[in-house]
Amino acid sequence: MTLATGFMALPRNLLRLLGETVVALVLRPPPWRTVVTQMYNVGFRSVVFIAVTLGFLGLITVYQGCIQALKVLPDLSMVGAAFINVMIMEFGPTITALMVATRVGSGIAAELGTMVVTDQVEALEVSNTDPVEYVVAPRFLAVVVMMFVLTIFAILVATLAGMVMADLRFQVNPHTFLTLAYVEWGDVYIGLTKVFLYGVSIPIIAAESGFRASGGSEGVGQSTTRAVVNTLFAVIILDFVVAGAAFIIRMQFE
Amino acid sequence: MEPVVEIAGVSKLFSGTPVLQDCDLRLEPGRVHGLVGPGGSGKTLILKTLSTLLRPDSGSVILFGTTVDYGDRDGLRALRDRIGVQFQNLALFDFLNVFDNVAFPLVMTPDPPPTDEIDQRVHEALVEVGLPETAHLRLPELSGGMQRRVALARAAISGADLMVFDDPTGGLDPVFSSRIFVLIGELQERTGSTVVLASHDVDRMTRICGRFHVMDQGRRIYSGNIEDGRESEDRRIRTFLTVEA
Ligand SMILES: Nc1ncnc2c1ncn2[C@@H]1O[C@H](COP(=O)(O)OP(=O)(O)O)[C@@H](O)[C@H]1O
Ligand SMILES: [Mg+2]
Repeated sequence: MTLATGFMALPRNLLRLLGETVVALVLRPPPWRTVVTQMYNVGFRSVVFIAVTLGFLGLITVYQGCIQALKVLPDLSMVGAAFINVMIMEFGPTITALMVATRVGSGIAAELGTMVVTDQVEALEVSNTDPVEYVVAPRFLAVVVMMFVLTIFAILVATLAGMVMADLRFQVNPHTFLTLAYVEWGDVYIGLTKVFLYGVSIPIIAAESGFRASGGSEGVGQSTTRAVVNTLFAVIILDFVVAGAAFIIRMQFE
Repeated sequence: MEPVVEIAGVSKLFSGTPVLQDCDLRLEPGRVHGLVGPGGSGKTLILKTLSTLLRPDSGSVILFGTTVDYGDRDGLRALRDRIGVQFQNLALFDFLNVFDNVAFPLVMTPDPPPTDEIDQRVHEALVEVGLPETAHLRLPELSGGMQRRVALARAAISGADLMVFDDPTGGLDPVFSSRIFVLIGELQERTGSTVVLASHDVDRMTRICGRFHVMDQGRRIYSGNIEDGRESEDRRIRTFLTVEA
């Protein structure tokens, strides 16, 4: 396989896996208990990670934001508004996705990779059980749903942390800080679009990598690393693509 | 009688290395077939081929009179409903407990039996392999030998028309190995299914295997009874059918 055909094979495999997963979800939805268990796993694996990261991000961003703002003019009344807007459009969804990609994406790739190299996938197949339907579909649904839940959680944590910093260090009243003054519906849609696309791509990229595992535990390790790298990369690219698309759409309306 | 498995001219390359080379295999129905040969000779791969799990690069696989068409999902399903496999590396589902592992092939049939029948059959199967009282355990709580017996129970539970056992006694002590071979023999007699098992334990295999197939370097080099094989001109065949560690 040349580098070029390998490069083209990945998007095709991803799209096929996505298609198979969606078809399985529609035609033979997994039992809700399975999905709830998976949602719990996704949340459990990433919630502390997200709380800590987004908490510090909130503190640091508000601290830097206030310091920089004060250089221009001595008015911090709109710092909260700007911060919350950026959190909704950008940092909430994207940082959450980076966390989920690392924690959950690696988990999915390791699980599936292990199943492949220990013949569990073949054992499913010989029992006429589709591994996509049985393993991938519930995890996919769980990640898509939990991305929304975790992003909201992340925005709340970051905003609270930012509010505390603004209040204690810069004497910005929490009432002043907590405002949606700068948030437009368009920004919310951008945020939601990102969350959805991240939620769709993380489990699919991770699962595809797991399915390609070969050759024992070393192969599982490689597929896990590949899953993390590819999902992080996908999140960054999607962030850029959505931001670009939003920019173009907004230009049309002005 | 029409063979249950008829593999003809099957070849397979793994990253450029031939692992099956123009391999033939015919399994007549209703007996226990023994598959022997040195490690790496392709026993596991040919068993996966006749379980429809490995798609050969060339050659044909006919199961129950039907040529396997790997693009035909429904056709594959129909064939797989008639096959039970114990994998060499067990392939037990580590996210399920012992009971759910053994019950899996029953639960996943198109027309599963009622719950209490499943309960009963799983418990019977576990008793047969000497593992009563383990149904609720998770796999890490079991020794390697116990896991192998769980895998056997799972392969046998649905009484499939074709049952495949890849090294069913690997790592088991001699007493238990004998018992497993007896069990497989009884299973075949009770169900009338076609059984194929790969093992190095030629001694114990002779008690239940009516026919032997010898693999070497990705080819089948002998099929027949043990006596004729032991008098073969070919030294490899004689060796593999006499003593294997
Ligand atoms: N997934 C794989 N990738 C590459 N080579 C493999 C793979 N599986 C098996 N092989 C090779 O194929 C040959 C036959 O393997 P196998 O059927 O497992 O032998 P046996 O079961 O007789 O010990 C061996 O040389 C093995 O190294
Ligand atoms: Mg083998």
